[in-house]
Amino acid sequence: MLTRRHFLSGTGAGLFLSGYPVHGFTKNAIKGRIVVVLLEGGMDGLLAVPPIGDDNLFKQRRALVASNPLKLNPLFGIHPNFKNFSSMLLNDEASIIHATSFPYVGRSHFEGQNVLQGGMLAPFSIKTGWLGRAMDIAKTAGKAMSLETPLIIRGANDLDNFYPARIKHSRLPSSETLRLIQSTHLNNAAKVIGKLTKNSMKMGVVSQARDPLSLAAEAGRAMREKDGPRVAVVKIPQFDDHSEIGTDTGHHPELFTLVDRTFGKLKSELKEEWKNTIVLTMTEFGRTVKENGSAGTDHGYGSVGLLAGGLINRSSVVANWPGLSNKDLYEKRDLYATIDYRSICAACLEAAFGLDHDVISERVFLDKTIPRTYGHIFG
Amino acid sequence: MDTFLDKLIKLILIVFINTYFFASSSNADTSVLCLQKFLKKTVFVPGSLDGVWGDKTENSINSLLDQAGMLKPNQNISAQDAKEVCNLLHSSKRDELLESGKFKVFRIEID
Repeated sequence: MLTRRHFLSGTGAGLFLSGYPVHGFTKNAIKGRIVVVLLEGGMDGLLAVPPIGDDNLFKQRRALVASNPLKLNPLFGIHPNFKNFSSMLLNDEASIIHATSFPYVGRSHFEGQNVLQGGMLAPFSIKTGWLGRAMDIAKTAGKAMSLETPLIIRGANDLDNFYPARIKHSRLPSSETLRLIQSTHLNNAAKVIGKLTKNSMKMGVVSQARDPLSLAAEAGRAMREKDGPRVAVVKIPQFDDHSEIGTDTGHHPELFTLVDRTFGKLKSELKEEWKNTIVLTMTEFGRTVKENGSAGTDHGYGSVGLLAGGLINRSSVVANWPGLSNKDLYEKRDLYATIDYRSICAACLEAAFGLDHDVISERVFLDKTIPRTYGHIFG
Repeated sequence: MDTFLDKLIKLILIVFINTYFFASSSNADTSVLCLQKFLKKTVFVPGSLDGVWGDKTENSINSLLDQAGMLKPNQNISAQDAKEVCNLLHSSKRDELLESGKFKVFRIEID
């Protein structure tokens, strides 16, 4: 049977490049670069960046705190798998936003992804994405290198897309696709497909064609060029860990390593252009504060955002910490989101595209009330 | 005529009002109250608005001014600075301080 979880894992990693300057259209190509890393499925922000100075953390989820997080300051630590990102924090080129989310509390993956890409208060209320609208205003809209065009980079201007079909391995199926097919078959048919999956892994096909690190490397190489894309979106799926989420090791920690190496790969491939870049993660929601009966966590509200790039001057954790006692939780189960993540996206647009905050709030997010966080992150 | 219980309740009320209301009022300082009212508009919560200088008020005003870059190295604002700080909060720096006080910034202290 095809479950929702299988479907999500089958969607696979992806890369979308956009904002290539177009001769005759782009005037004064902007210097800044933005990379959005979409963490699909809902990342557990309390496992990634545990508030180790809050005693209630250990009362609420004793089994879900890494045994040796790196202490960042008296209140916050970070999971040890974020090695590259920790170095960036040390070098004043990364920051963390905690207890944050897009203003969406419905706990549906599909609605949540639509809200974070569309940038509106309600899902399915607009046909363009916040990054696409910002590119329109900054006059950077151009070609997208993808077969599909994700909502986040769709703007009002026509966005020409292309996909070079002769990229090595681009036409071979990914392991996620094969697993998805396998899950819909029984007995011998499932065995045969399973064998094919194993063989494809042995050939190293997947690692070259579909994994986020290869995609991040491709993005970095393209974006460092003078006429390269100004915008990239990297998708990392499979964060929806309802069971066996892991603490020191396990599935979520492995994904942390993947996110961390994605940051590292982008920095190493962007080279000189890293100084003009901001990379930000986004996830549709956080996960429940308490673990469930299957050693996992369920769909929640507040989570964490990771930012890195040369546009940051001083590292910090920005958080209006709501607390973790039962009375502090959203609906007595989720971390409260006290910072609207749209305000963080707005600050990143201000830093990379040089747009005015009022223009961003009114014309990108269509909401004048979004507070300005630029000074707290880039000041 | 009041019963013994009525008299006892009145006595407890009088003691309570004298202890907590008048005592607080006599210690209340308009400059401290000025700071506390300003802090309440930010995320640096000062505790109750009682005009009394306490740990919460001291920590909050120092944290806000430090985050806004308005404290000298090793400077610590104390009760006797309340009037001067109140003037600062109502100077041209007001908007800047309110902007800074919308979010808390925890600096990275990795060794």
